[in-house]
Amino acid sequence: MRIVNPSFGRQPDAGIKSTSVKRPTDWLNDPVAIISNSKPNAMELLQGVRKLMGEFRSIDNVDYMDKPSAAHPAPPELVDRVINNYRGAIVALAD
Amino acid sequence: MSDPLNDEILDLGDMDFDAFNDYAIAQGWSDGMPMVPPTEAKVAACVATCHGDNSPFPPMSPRLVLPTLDTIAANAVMAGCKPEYFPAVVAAVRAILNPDYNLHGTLATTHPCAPMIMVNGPARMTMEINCGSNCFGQGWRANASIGRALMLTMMNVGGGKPGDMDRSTQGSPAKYSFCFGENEEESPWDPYHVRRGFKAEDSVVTLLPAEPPHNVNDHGSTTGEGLLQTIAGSISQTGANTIYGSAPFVVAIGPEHAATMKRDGWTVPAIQEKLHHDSATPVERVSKDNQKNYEERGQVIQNGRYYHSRTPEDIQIVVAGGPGKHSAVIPTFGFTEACSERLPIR
Repeated sequence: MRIVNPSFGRQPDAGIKSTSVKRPTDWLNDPVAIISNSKPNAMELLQGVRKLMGEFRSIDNVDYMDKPSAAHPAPPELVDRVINNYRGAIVALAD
Repeated sequence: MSDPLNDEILDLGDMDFDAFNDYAIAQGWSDGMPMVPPTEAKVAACVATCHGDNSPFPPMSPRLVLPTLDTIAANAVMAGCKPEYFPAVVAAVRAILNPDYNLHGTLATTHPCAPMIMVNGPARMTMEINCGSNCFGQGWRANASIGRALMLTMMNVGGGKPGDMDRSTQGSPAKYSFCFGENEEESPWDPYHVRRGFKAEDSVVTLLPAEPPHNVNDHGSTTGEGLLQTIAGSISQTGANTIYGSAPFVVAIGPEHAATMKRDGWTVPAIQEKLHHDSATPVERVSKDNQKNYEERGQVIQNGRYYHSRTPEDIQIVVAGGPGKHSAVIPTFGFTEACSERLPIR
């Protein structure tokens, strides 16, 4: 039996930049973004995460940010900001 | 070495129907019910109905690959579509890929929304789409398979797999299929698509990320005013997403209720205006914690109420169903727009 693959999709070929990871993230020193999905209590949860991180590393370069709306994807500007300025990200995904 | 599952055509060797379904379930292609093998011949028959529709599709979230007519048709075949249904499936795919629909948000959410497909125009007749009795229910191949084809496409091409990128807490039966037609023949008002600027002879699908229909039983009210009071009360639930994400939602009025409203002089704009105000939820019905939550999200309190619609026009008035004193409210995810697409048929 020959079938058409129902999960086949073409890859967009424009605007996709391939980036190679030069080295693993150093979670003890590298700048880290902690990102709220803007759901209720997400920021409270992440504030606790940042406080705990402060027990074993400097948190001067651990920064909060959030999506404008929990109901929409993160805007490209936010994604670019994280990619360009941080080596790691912690994201609150649930409620 | 490339993954053979990335190929557009798969040679599965000597497989019968049961073996194919076991294989499809193992690949994560199934919604749980048996599917028709999407052979090249069956897929080609579907694609032929959209000959000349060469507009490229944008990337489909969350997987962000580009659908092709062939892969959409493969999902339509698996869902049980006849080839002549395929233009409705293609139009539905284009509608959910409209950025205003907010496909990514509707999949990533824990809300149980499913893509509601409403069909207007002559295609309802040629495809035999049920617009009358039990139009939201079982028994009609077109309703069942067109809605199912869209869901399978979202799962298999888009990657919205339940429990993975489809994060719905409980889901809903509408995620198997949610497709119906407007009962234009028994509507006392212009068809929905005509009110949106299409021609009466156009065939159009309109998509919204929706909950299943919530029934509105009103056997007692004998005036349009009374019926609208009951419908407004049904919209005004404290657990609706639209209480903090005001947006379009559907009120599907049964033909008997619609006839009563028409008799009493109610026009569509007047109905929208009344429901917009009367369905707003009084603040005192909302828990204190949620009041704080909605305040933080910027939801405005007007006249001591939370409005579910931004404007009266947000309320999509349609006529659907058969005999009986029932209507339905179809709540949505919020954070969305009603997206309509003309079918690619001659």
